[in-house]
Amino acid sequence: MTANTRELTPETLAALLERVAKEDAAALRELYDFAAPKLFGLALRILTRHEWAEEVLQDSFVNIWRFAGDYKRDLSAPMTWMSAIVRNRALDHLRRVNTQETEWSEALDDLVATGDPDPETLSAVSLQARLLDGCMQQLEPAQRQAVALAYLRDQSHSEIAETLIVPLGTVKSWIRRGLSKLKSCLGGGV
Amino acid sequence: MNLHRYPQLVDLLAAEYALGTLRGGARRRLQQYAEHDVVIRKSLEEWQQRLAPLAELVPPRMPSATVWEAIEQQLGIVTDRGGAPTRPPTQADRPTRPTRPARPTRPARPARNWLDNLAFWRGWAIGATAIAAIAAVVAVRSLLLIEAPTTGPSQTVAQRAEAEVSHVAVLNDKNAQPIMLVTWDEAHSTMTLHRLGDVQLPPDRAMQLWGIPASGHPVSLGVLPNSGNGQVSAAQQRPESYAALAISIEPPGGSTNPNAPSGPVVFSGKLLPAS
Repeated sequence: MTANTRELTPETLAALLERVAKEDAAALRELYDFAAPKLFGLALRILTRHEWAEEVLQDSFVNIWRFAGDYKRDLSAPMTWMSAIVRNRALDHLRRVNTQETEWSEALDDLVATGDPDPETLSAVSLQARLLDGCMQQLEPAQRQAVALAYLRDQSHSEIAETLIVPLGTVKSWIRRGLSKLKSCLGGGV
Repeated sequence: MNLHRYPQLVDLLAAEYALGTLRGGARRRLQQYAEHDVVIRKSLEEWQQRLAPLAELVPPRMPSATVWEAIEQQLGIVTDRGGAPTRPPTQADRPTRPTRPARPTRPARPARNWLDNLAFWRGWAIGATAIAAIAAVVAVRSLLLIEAPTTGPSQTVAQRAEAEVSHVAVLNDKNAQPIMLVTWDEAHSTMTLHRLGDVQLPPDRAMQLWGIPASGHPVSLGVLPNSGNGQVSAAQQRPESYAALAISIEPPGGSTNPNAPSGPVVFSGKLLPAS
């Protein structure tokens, strides 16, 4: 993207959202240039199919345009807010197409198994996400994978057990321990 | 059970709620507790905030250029595609721009009225209004028959495939007032919404359409345009799968719960074959 001469900071994004709220189409375009690759990566991760992910990305930016006025800086970082919209739309889409096909395990590996996330990737995300990423790295790989499958793939305990081919009780305890570790790591007490 | 005596249990339930692994009755119960209990609600919100950044930790990928074009089309906006920031369109020149007409102006921010009183609206109020709905459907059928030939003569058959309404639902509010008519065109996999009554959507909320099967959990049929008019794609959904349709009020993007609305259900009605 050639437009990214400015740094992609939460402040930049929040300022763009403010302009989008005033129906500034050029600001939407800038926001798109900044955030679309990130958000498309998310949609693609959840949906695995290109055409579905593009549909959801489109739908999400239409929602961002409509709801930008309701974005609250003090509640969440802009990227977190936009990612939540994309995640909701993508999970919604997933349920509508009612797909059981999962080309997920392989693609999941680079999210959950890597010990050193690409610094370029991290520069685009919120501070909260960087902290969470650090904490995710401290989980055991299996715990990390179970948490990611639940959150990014909307899988139930038993679906995760099926995906990872382990007993249901094992999945439950991975998730419990994973969540509890995340909380203490993020400073929420034990 | 006084959940406050088990803070660790509350925390775990809230965590699994936010993660999505708390499901079914347990999920609904926790949601009900949270509505009345500030401690539980806070725990839930904290967990949602803790986990939300997970969605950001995915490597970026480049979408194809057609996505932006589709967004422009859908919103009726035009920007210079050079990549460099373009001048913001002013209100004055907006109407002269080509492509589609500018999107309808954002509905005036309505006063918070009914949503604040909606907590008790919960549940699928279908049985109570079924008779009224059937009466309305009969009326609507005759209306559709009259409307059909008025499609503009300039449109050829090829340009506009004849809408084939296979199913209809009249969605009523809690006072059995018809608010929205949904016609389902199974042949073209589209649903068309016609607003019949007053829809006042709070500023930071969206309407989500649900299919209610005879048994099993509700299935999302998508987030609706704020106006309550227009078309939505039915994708691979079939009207025969559902006994009723309902609309809930949700955060932008729709319910965070896959299998049920997270907000109040405000309109509902039976889905009936049109012929």
